[in-house]
Amino acid sequence: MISTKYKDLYLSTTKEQFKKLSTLLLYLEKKPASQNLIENIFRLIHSMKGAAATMSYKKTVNLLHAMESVVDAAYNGDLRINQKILNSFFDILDILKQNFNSIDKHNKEIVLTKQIKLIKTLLNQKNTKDASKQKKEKHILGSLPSVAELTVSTDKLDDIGNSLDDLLINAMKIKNKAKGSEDVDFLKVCVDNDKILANLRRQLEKIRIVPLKDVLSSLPYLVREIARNENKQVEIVIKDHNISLDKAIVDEIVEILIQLLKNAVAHGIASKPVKGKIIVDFSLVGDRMYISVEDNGQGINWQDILALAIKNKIISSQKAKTMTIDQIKKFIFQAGISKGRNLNTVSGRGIGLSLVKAKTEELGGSIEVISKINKGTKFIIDLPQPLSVFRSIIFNLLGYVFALPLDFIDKIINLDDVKNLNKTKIFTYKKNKYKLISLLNIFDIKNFEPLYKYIALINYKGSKVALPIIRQVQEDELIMKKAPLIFKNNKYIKGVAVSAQGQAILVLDINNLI
Amino acid sequence: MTARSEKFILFYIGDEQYALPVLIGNQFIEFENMTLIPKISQKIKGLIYHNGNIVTIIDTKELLNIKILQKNKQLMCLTFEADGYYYGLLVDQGGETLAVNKTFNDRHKKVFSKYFRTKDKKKVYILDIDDILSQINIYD
Repeated sequence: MISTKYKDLYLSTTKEQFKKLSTLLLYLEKKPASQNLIENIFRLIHSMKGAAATMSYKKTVNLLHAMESVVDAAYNGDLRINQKILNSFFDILDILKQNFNSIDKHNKEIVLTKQIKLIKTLLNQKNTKDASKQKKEKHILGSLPSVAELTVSTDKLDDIGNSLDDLLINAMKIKNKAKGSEDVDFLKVCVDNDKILANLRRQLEKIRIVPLKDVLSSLPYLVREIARNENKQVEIVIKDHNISLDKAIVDEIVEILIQLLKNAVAHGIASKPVKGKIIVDFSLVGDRMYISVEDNGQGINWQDILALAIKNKIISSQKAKTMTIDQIKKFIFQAGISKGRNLNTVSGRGIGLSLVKAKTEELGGSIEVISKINKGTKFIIDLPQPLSVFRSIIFNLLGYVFALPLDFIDKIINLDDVKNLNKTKIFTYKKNKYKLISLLNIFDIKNFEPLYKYIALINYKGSKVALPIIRQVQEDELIMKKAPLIFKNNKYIKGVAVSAQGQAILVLDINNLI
Repeated sequence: MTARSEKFILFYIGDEQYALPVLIGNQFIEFENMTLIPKISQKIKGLIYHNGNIVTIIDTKELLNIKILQKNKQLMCLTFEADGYYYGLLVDQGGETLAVNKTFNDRHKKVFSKYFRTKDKKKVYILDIDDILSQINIYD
């Protein structure tokens, strides 16, 4: 047997192929006679079979071979794709998923005999009379182009990215030296190097960036399967607006979406003849990303949620009397509150939305819910957009070094005299009033009454705020790095960036400062 | 049959020797400038940038509740990686790596209770990674 060191590579490749197969089968359900779709499905199954054979996963090979025979028969016109075949294929996708999980966790395949037998019975529907007439001269594989794809783990990309960041920092240092040396040729080389390195980093970032629609392609299949199990009819519309994001972040978002979709199908959409609809919408506004998941279901009765909270002893009936709707809304994101009457494999254990909230907060975001009885429910997730290389102001505050991205700053005012602004709430500049932010209060720095020399005027999402700065305002290019876990609960610090001097700098989160 | 041994990196806090299990990313680094963090546990000293990663510097003396007033001009830390994040334990001096066949448990200690004995019978306490991370409230 081939070494298990290739297992991870096999699983990651298969995961992608599996996703494509689910999507293609969903399309095939809409166009069961499409030769193009059948051809692509055949190619995919054949490729999955080849990968499984390389790894000596014999049971998987046999099952995929049986599926391949069915698709081959359909392509050759011996078999007509019908709902029974499609449902069997969708059932087998579930089993294959379990099989891949078992390979991943226990290093062994599950028993697939029953499924192989089932697939073989599908071939009994073969139209033997017309077979000879419709048989294609050429086998499918002969006409298929071969596509080479390479799977690289994000860890490896991180390693390259880290080395490149080091190189970029060194290049910044050299450029600064060149600026002081008055050697024009040397400076020109440095500037060229800068461009090459920046381009290299962008190229590397691009490798990590994936179109949302590629990653979300498995969601319609998921919704279809949950709806089928719940005996409901649900349509899903994904408005990705051609947005592309870092694969690592998209994977996290997918986890959140899966939970919200499970909830929407199981609880949101009612069992009624009217077709349910779920709309997943992505949008980028400023430095934020918003994701909404909206269903046209029965809506949430907040009084029911309150009753559940009382029943599950999360709140006393006395306290419940004075609660506002906004306060009640928070209950649905707490573990132990479930709208489902029965526990099932889809949802109803009352932990799903608490996980959604935890995951969203892990990404530095927040979630809110809007719901109307018999109209539907809408969850809105607000996430910060990840920064990479950005220009920023850097300033010192009693030994702490902070950065604020330049994009948010309207103007930096050099005050004529140093000023004590510790009791000032509003700063007026050219008849405009700015609310003063005190980092001393925010970070609980006591017993200091510094005198400020500069004020950064910020206009963010329509809010005008002023940030007083003691001294030493610099402007520089910074590289954003993965924030250490210690900032998990610190909403005022967006992350940590690195300067040309290799210094770690705390990047303020303007959204939360305001 | 030989006993299964565990590998540790030794380091000094004052004159006392401690051990950290050998992990990915272990390295002794000397540094001068550290980024301070407001409103954080005293057990966290600050941040440094090293080899493409942000390293959270842990005050080992504070972690072990050791009161030694010894200020080094040049700071040194022993780095380790846990779940993709990098940490550095402030140490006074680095030591060698050694394999240990047998470890013991000090029942009187709630954390950092594991230890082994050196050839001259001296106790060397082990700084278990889970204990370190729970002490700096990373799991909160």
